[in-house]
Amino acid sequence: MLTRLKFRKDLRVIARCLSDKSKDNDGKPQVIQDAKKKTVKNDPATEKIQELLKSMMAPPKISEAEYREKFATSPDTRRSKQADEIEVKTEKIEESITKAASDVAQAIGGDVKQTEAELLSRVLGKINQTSTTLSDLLVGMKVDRTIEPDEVQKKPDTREQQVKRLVSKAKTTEASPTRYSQRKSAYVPNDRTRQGRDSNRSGTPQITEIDIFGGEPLGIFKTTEPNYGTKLDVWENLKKRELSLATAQPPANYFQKMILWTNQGKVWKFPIDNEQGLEEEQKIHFSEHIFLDTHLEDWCPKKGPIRHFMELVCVGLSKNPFYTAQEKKEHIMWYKDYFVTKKDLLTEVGAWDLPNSNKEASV
Amino acid sequence: MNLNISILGKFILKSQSIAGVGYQQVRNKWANWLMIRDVKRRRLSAENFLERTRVNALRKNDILPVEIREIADKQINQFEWNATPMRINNRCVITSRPRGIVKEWRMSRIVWRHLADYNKLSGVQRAMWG
Repeated sequence: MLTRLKFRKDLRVIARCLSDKSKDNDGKPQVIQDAKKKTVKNDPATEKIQELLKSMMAPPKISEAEYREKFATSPDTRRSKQADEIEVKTEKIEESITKAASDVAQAIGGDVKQTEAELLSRVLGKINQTSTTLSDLLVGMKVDRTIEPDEVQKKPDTREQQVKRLVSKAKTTEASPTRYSQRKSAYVPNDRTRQGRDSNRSGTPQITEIDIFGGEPLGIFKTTEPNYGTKLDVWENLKKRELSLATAQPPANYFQKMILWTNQGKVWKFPIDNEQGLEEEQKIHFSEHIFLDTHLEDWCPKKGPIRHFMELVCVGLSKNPFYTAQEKKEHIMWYKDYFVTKKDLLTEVGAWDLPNSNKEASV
Repeated sequence: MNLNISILGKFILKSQSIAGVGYQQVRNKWANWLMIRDVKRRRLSAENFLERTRVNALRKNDILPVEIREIADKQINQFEWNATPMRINNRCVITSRPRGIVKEWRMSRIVWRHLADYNKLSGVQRAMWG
């Protein structure tokens, strides 16, 4: 340790000896003598200057206002006046604001000091900002649209090119940098300017960031309108199905298997409901199940065997708890179709008199 | 001879898998051809059930004119034979045994006994009293 310190000291000494300061040591007294001579020579001049300066610094014998009154001075420029006025005005405004803030804070109650501080920071912060904002500066500026010859060739790298470049770089660096690979990377078929390419290639390739949602919308379409956007229901359902099929794993345990079967409808749901699968039937009123004569109104004759038969059918259906109302209607309609096809035969027999026509004598 | 058959087997029938043709054992999920027939009958009965009942209702009454009933008689015979529910046979679901079926479980008595002994049937216990 000690040897090191000594060494450093020695170094310093050596450095000093070697440096130009040794010469200055010799020349210092000369310089000082010169300086002294100079000061002796310029003494009256400097003294005068110094006296003048002192007189300037000293407070004036006449005040400015008196001077202006007595002697003719240049007229006051607007700027100086405005600056003063502005300052005064801002001071006044600030005072009034502080007063107002304190009043408001007290009126509100609660944490008076905190509210006051918040209010003041919000309001005064705005005043303390300069009036000239960036937008003001930019208004006057014009965009330089002259195309320089260099930059014509240099187009900004597209994402595709960037990626390709990165990939090729990775390839060349990972493998041994053979001459062939270097040559390949260096060689570019249509390279007009070297400048552009070199500037493009930087140590860290910068990817141009594009913000899609940064700009302002045009406002053509509004979300509140009824026909906003298109809905493709089938496609959406298919997408959902595809997603569920892609993500579906075979069941890991018995519980999952039972869940799957329940969803598929192979297994009853708990608590057991005999009308599982007939939820829509619950909404239909019972009168539609019982009063089925309405379906007979149009086509069925008022009297005769067919009417008798159909009424029996309706009674039977009304007592049937298993058919849905739609199925019952279809049942009756089937009979209607059947009898309509057999109309000729029935009229021949005399069983089918039309609702409007008179009664025929039976055979 | 054997080599030739195996070589042939590779070339034949990659496109269509016809049951029984080729050199593969035929496999169905049904135990029996009889069971398959029974399944077919059940399916057809279910498909034609509504139509058949309606036509049958036209037949089985004494209100409608006779002519209608005769027509209905003829019509009902035009259905397929396998559409008749009477042809359905309650076979065992597992072994396709035609006789000795325990109806509620749709199984032959032998299979039923096997499962009951292994405690797979809910609420079934060996009987003993006295």
